Amino acid sequence: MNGYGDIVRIDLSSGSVKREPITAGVAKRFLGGMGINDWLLWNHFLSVDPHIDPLSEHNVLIAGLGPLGATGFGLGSKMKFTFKSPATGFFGDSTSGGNFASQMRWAGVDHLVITGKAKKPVYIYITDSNIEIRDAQHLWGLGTHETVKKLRSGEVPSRAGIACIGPAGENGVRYACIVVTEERAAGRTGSGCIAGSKNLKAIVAHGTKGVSVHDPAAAFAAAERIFEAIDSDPLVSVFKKNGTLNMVDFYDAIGGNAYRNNQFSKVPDEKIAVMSPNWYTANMKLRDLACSPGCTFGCDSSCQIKGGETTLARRLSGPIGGSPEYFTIATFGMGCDIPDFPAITHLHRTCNDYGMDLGEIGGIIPFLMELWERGILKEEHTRAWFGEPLSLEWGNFDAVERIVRAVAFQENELGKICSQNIERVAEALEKITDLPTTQYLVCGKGGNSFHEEIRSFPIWAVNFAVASRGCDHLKGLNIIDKGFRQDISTEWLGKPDAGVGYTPDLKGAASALAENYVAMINCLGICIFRPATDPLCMPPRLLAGAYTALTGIPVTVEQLLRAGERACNLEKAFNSRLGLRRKDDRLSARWMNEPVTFEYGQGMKAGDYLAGLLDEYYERHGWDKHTALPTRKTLESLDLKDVADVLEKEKAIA
Amino acid sequence: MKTLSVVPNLCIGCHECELMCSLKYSGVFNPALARVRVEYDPKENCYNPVICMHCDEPACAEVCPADALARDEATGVVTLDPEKCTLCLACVDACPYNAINVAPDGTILKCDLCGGNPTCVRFCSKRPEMSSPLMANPEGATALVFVERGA
Repeated sequence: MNGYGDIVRIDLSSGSVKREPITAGVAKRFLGGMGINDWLLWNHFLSVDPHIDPLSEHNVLIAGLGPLGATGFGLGSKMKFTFKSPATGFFGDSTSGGNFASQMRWAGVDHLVITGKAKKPVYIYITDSNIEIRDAQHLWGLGTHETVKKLRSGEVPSRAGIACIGPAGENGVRYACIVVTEERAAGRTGSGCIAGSKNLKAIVAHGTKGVSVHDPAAAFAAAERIFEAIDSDPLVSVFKKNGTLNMVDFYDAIGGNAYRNNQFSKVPDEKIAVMSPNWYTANMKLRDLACSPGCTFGCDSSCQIKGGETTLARRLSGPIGGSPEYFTIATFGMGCDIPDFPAITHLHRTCNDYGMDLGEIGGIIPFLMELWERGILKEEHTRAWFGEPLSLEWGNFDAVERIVRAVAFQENELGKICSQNIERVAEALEKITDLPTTQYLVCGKGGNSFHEEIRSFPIWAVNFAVASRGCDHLKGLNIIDKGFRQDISTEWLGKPDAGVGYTPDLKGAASALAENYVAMINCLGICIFRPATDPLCMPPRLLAGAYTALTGIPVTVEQLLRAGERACNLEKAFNSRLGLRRKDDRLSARWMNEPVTFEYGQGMKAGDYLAGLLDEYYERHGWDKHTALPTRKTLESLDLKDVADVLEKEKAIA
Repeated sequence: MKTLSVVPNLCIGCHECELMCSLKYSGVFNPALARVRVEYDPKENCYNPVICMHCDEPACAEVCPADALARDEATGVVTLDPEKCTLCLACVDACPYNAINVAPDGTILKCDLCGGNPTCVRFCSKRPEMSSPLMANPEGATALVFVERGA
């Protein structure tokens, strides 16, 4: 079938490798990427008990790239890793840019299904004609940067794409991530921890077969239309110029940043100034980069800490490398109050080298700092952990660096405690200090931390409470209320209300539609920047045209969106089997009960609107609002009767 | 006479030129079949397009034992006649820019400037003004440009 590669099943226990084509039926139902990954996960857990420990060898690590990835359609190539999460215990997936996914697809493989556990460290090597499981004992213990260097010094071609883990994944940090060349992390929910539990150090791919095209002339024309749409969008140049860093200034204006463990949604002006994209461009930036092949957007960049930029930079100077994203600034810069771009960059690269999600550890450390400020954590604790007193006061860069290291290498008790999700961290610290800590948590569903002000932006708040992989920003879309986009609201819901800022109106319904939309993008294997962040400037009919030219399968926009919705329902069904219900769709006490003090959104707290918006969200998805369970009617309307039958047997359907 | 040129520091490494070149000439998305090549420099964390310069005195044509490579005096384009090519790869070794690619099946991939409207330039990512202090042109531009020779 044109435009599609194969599914390859690798069992690391037995060493068996099996290859099968993607059938037209599966392609039509699930499109690819996230959709086919979810279908593979669902099927895996029909023969394996879904209640297993995520670290069991019977868990599965699925890697997949959708049909528009690794092509010239200009919207990038985003790898999706899917598994049962060791960080939350339920559905887990994570996305990364980088060049591994495209190399794998150019070798004719769209999806990998990795089961079992190797007896000793191994890596998987994929080429056009062969898939090998190779010894990786010489790589075990290395950081992700060294792993790449070593592999590329003669062992694999320099163009090969590499996805690997660092010490955090080897040492069982629950939110360890897989890092892909060149330094793009599949951050949240613990993909690297699963790889480590399987003794899988890396997956390497080098492909020269490419992606076959049904109608090259139509594909060329479709690529031209997408290219024109990118250039006609006025917001594109903002992203091209500053990437996600543009959000530092934008959030500063609308009250979207979270300062000092989200006690405040305003960061002092002088600190914003030195974390702004303008400061970065003037002092550190070297050039723009695309994070994955086929991305003509290019919102990544290259930079260097030369040593003279700030006081901290003096001892952090180093080689040219990747730049931090907004996420890193939000965690270490604003969350820990280290307004120092070189220091933030250093922590970004360190977390990537250790292969651990800087989102999770970057939420845990501000929480520890608030406990220090409140006198709950004291010198006696840090002395016991580090062998000497260590202050956890705001802005203490040394403390942050030492905690990050302690977690990655499991160096002490604090490192072990902080290798779980933030809710488990709070529980462990309550036991140690015998004082309440959970009211200072900033987290949502499943106990994942986060670092943006969400109380003033109810679409965001609903999203963080319900996302299938737990509290997180990439299953939904915040542009509608954060960007005041009444035009998108009107297009999607017939009314502008969801685009009116700082109100809860229609935000529940908008959250549900946003999930389906983002799922569609993730099924196609492309980046959410542009198609999802601006569905009007990059309308889905352009994607439908590209898909049909590529595969020869006629598809309507409606069918694309239904495929996205199908993937959302599969993830919902998986979590429902595990016992997740409405009570699990929740936000931490700070977000629920403490009002916003910033000028915009002043007084807003999620406790005032969340219950009503959840009703609206479940109804829009066609799920039962009392239990949050999927309904047979909705599943059958999506051609998922087989899924409904499984849920029926396990009493996990409404 | 216009030809291809590279503006320093503007390539973002998206490989779009390779992907669209392979689509146009081979009907697939496959950088291994592209006439243009983007190389990654890990030390500088940057990407450099490698393009055929369509030299005034092309070394590739000079060494070709089959006269398969020739420069069109009217357009300045150095083209390959695949019928004549014996796949000896002498041109690949002779090119001072290392710009002649070899496909996985051993055939030569040679840029012909798309008859005067290069696909790689058409799809090269447009960068906004002053995106980086190293930017060669503060007005913003693309890494691959089609310009008058010597410009």
